[in-house]
Amino acid sequence: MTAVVNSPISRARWRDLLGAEWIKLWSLRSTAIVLGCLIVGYVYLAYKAAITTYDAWPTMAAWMKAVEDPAHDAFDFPAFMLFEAAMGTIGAMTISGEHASGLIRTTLIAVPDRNRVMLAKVAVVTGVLAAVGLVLSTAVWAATFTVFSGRINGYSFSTPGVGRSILATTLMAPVCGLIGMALAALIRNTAGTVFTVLAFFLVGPVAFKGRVPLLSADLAADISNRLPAYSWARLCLMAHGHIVGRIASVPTAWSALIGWAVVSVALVVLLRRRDV
Amino acid sequence: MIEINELTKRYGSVVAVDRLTFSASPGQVTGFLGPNGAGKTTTMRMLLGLNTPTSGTATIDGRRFRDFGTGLRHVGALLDANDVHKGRTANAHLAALARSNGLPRRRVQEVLETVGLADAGKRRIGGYSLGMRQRLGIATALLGDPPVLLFDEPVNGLDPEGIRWARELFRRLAAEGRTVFVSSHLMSEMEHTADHLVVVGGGRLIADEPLAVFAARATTSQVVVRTPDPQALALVLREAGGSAQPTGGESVTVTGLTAAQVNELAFTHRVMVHEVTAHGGTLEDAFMELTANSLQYRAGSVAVGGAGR
Repeated sequence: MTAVVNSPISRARWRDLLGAEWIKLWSLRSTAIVLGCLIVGYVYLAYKAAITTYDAWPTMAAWMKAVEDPAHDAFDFPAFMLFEAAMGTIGAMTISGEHASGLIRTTLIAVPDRNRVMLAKVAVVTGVLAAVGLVLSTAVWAATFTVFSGRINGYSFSTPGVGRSILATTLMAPVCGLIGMALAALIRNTAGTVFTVLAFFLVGPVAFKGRVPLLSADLAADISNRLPAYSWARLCLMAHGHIVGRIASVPTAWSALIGWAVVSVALVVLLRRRDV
Repeated sequence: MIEINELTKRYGSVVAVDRLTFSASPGQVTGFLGPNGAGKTTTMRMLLGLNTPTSGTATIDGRRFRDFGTGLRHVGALLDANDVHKGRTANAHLAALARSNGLPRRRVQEVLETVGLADAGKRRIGGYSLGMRQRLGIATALLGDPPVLLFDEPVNGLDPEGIRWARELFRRLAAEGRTVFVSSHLMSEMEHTADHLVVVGGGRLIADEPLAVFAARATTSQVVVRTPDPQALALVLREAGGSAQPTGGESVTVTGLTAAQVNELAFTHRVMVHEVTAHGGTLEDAFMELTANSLQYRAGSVAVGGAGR
């Protein structure tokens, strides 16, 4: 017969909660598979794009060479819309996966402090997706520079704009994940959440480029420029030779990305009071 | 120690739990009984801080559950065995929970051994049978070696061996001085497990008393007789002051007379009987009578007994 111990009350420690969320994230096989495939896939796309430019370089007109933007090859906007949607879905699944399976109840019985549980989850998703963004963008540039070498000169990691695009991608990936988490906390239903995430990341940037009902053209452009996709794309822009239309300033783009993150985290934390 | 005081939960116009007050003490198994929809699960969820009460309080060792920083060392609970992510292994599932509470990793293997899943830890939970998931849920509750344990319908899906095992486990946990609170909609489950019964129906408290006291309610006894001539026997028994009801075929159900009296009457009136069986009133009967008035979901048009007050 063991003695029954009444333990003292103690707050959940951050490192324990982070450790628990870390185990949860990586103990699902899909996490490693999806993140691995995304990194490999996008580096391959950048590699192919760089080869196309490399092959075309000798026959390219001089004015085109003058406005060459290697980031345009490295970070293909339409392809990265899908990347943003993937990041959003991964973030969303960390919450809606718990709600759909009912695991959220088991989690909250183990740690009743909902604030801390959600913030630990936010921190782990942010950290992991930031690492994905950093590794991916660095590898994308490494592939590009390797292909360019010997023919298209003057580009390296120290070229102005390269560092910014790496930092922007490192920020963009977790921001998209956090938006997904916020939508999942709001909607809870898995199918509804994934639909909304895909609509936001895939349809949103396209829709706001057209005429938006009830919004003036200026307002629509302002909103559009602050969408995560365009904010990130603005920060990846190294030479904007012939862009038609309005683009945001660099500080606006940074603050828009950070704003999305702050609002998303606030939603995740504020929605914690509901019954589960 | 679990204390529920005037606990109420409304969902719109539906009152799921209605001013419920009771407590569960350490060192005994408290059975929480009630038909489907009686408010048992809602009560347990409020106790565990998952749902917010409309009014009233539910405390564990004098504290609201949400005021515990980490839960597992204080309260172990199994609400629904399916509240797990089916893509994870039992090891990973328990390791994450143990980690969140700062419990040592070895607890995972220990509790898996306690519930008989030592060899299944590396398998994904999606491949588990319902019985195995129940065992995993019980393992989760035991992880922090807590003084208070809550189990919501823990034996659903367990095989007879598993039910006996669970029953003995609950008895042992209570014998160690823990508060063990087990809900069920089956009286038969509680009969051999609980020391104390809390019976609810329609969200209200119906009974809160030791099992022995509850058992004393089960007094209506009856005698079932098999005879080739039910009509003749019924007549004899009615004349003797009993109530006899032919219940199809060759059997008659008698109340108001003992088995010995029935035998004697049959002998003296020369009515052939093949079998006389006395049925003591069961706890099941007492439970059914008590909750008959509160049943929310009932099949067909069953006559409602007047008992329950």
